[in-house]
Amino acid sequence: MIEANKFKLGLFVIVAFLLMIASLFVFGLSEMFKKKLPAFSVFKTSIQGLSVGSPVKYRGVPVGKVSRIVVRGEEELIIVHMELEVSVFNSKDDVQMNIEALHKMLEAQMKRGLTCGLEYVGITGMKYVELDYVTEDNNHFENLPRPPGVEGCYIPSRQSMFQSIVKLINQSLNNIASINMPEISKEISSVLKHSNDILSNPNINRTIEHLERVSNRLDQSLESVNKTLTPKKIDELLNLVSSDLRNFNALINQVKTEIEQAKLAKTSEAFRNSLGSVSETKLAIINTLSRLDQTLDSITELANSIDDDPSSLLRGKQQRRITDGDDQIKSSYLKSAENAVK
Amino acid sequence: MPMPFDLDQRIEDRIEEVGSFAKHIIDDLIRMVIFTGELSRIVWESITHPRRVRRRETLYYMDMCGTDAVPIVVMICLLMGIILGFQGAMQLQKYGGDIFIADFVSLVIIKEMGPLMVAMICTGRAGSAFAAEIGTMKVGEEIDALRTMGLNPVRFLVMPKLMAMLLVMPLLTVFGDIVGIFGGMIIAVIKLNLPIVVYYNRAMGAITPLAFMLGLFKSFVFAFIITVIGCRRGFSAGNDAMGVGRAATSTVVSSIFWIVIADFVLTFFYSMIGE
Repeated sequence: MIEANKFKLGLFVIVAFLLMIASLFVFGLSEMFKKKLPAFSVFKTSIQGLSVGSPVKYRGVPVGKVSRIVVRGEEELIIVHMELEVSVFNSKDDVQMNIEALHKMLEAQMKRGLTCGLEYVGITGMKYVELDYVTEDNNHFENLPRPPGVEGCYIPSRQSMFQSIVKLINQSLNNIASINMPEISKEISSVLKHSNDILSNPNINRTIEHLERVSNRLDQSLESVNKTLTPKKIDELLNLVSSDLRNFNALINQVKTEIEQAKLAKTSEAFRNSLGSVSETKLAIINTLSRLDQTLDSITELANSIDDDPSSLLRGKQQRRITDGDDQIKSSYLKSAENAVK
Repeated sequence: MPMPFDLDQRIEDRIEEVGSFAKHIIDDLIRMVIFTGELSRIVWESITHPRRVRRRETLYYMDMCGTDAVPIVVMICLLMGIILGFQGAMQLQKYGGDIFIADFVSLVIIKEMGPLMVAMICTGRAGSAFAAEIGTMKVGEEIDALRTMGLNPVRFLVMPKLMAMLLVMPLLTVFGDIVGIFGGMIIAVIKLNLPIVVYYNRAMGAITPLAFMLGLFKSFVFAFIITVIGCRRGFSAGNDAMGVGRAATSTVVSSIFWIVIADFVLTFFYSMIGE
């Protein structure tokens, strides 16, 4: 008998044994030593696709597995038992929770709407348990009471998205079924009849013919406009307009510069001053004219007195008694002189 | 008209052949059951009296059937993982299920192909060697000599082989499983561009410790079948060199047949317990 190579054999056995133990741990034997919180939920609808070992996820994060599924036929309930891994959950201080703390946390979260729902894993039809919150959009809370005689943390269930969709479709179908179809069909037929009457009216035909003629004329007009306004002409027009605009701009700029060069403020001040001096000159001329008028009156009076009494030129002025009529003449004379001065 | 007579005779001969073949199978089965019964008694004796086990021979067979088989097991299982990965990738890619390659390869290797391929290799290496060894001893009348000396040839020759096979085949299967999953990973990374971590996480999620242990139990059963058939064929080998050759060939064919039958039965039972 040939002896065994004991080193080789020992190495093989040790390596294989270690690999076996390591594989067992890697494949999930280590889970036996993990702390788990037993929890359960109750469903009253089909849980097709869910099986023992299906994952339990908290908003997509795997936190445990389905450990047992029990059917309570008399109550029409399906109880899904789960095992939640405590090591996954941390407190707000980032400290790993223990079982009691996790239980309390879940109860607190359930008051805020934490529920269990069944969601599809993919296209295979397999399902998993999703722990998520009931929101206003997703308000399909089953509200099943905690079944007696079951231990563990009770997490209420909610309808899955698929069930919600089915429910909505059913509601929609019910709404459609409640529509009074015969009455609607009667109304539609009467509307169609009226429409036929209107369409068979000869005025409508005439209107349509008229519209057709108008549209033909419009087409012709458009055609002629198109012929007149060729792209080349439009380009030329645009060029002309643009050159005119450029010239206009240049003119405006020129005017602006000339206005700036004219020193309008100073010119207007000088004009105002000259206007003032002209008005003063006008007053002086008026005074001069009034005096000249007085002088002329005096000359006229002198001429009249000489005419009345030529000898006065030699004898001088005769003394005469003043009468009331003279006073009146004098006052009127003075008034006229004042007016002339004004 | 001699024809009807000849035809009747020929049909009669064929029926006789079928009958004798069936009788041979039944007799062989009965002898196998008897042999298994005797071996079971000796196994029980070995458990109750461990000192009666021939340890040196057991270690020798462990070395021969286990350590020496590691390279071929690693190569075959690696290629099997690659083939499974390749075929799975081609089909799963059509449906966008690339990620499921990890589940597919790891579960098939752990549950079926790992134990089965290791059993095939051990059938070719150890089973035929057992049959040839015992057959040669029979030709040399060593077995009769053992009986004459009052030694039980089953305990003397079969027990070390059985012990060795029962110990090393599950260990070889561990190697085969790990290497097979690695082969699938090569294809997943190269052909499907899956990250290694994703493949690893997916495979670890798919495999359960129970599935792994049930796979190892399969290889345990296969080891028993290979040893029993190999040794039985050796004991029933003809007293010439050709008889030894026939015994070795018969061992391989019968072992593969019974391994497949056992695999079917075990898979059926596993499915009943949900694995």
